Amino acid sequence: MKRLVVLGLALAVVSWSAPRGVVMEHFSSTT
Amino acid sequence: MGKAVPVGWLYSVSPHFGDRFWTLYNLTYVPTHVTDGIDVIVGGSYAVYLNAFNKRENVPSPLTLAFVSKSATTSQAYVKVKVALDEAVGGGKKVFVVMWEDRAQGGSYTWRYTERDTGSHDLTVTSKGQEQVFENTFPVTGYNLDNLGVSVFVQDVSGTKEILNGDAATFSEAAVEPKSLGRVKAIFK
Repeated sequence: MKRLVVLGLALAVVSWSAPRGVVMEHFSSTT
Repeated sequence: MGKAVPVGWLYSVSPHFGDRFWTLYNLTYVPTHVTDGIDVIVGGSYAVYLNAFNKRENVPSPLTLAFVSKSATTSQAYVKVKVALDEAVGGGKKVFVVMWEDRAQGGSYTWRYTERDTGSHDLTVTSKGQEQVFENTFPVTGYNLDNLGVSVFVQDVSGTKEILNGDAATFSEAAVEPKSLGRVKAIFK
């Protein structure tokens, strides 16, 4: 039972994430 | 009517060759595409960029960004953003606030998401639960207010160059819109 509790906590940490916006930059020689 | 597919918070288009971010990334070739500051693709294609986006989208972020306030007139634009740390972050992080204009006319071409002005700030909070607010005022000189918007992102400028999170919206929108495939396609037309 103790092992199950620990596993649950670990999953909670791994699955957490803030909303993410991905920044994409493009470098061109065109002006 | 095509279906809009989110591809991320694209923050600027051109000119870019030789600018400060070109230097930051130590780039050599054009075109080069950089996703979240760390996934560098020389040349590439839309499919390759989309794959890079999909990988990054699934990476957890240690912080949350929010537009507290934003407004634009024919003379100036104002934006206030809040950075909230959901996890601790190390030092050496900067907050970039980029004002862009979409669909600007350059000769006969309509440019997508042209960078008009950029502000940068040091992120001085580092502990979980801390917040920090940043303000920028940009001059507006003949830009189309309906197409004017702002992107904000937090970047590790001293180490990995990783962008920890980003967000974007136009000044006229109350909420953030999903970005569409058309944006990236337009750049490489």
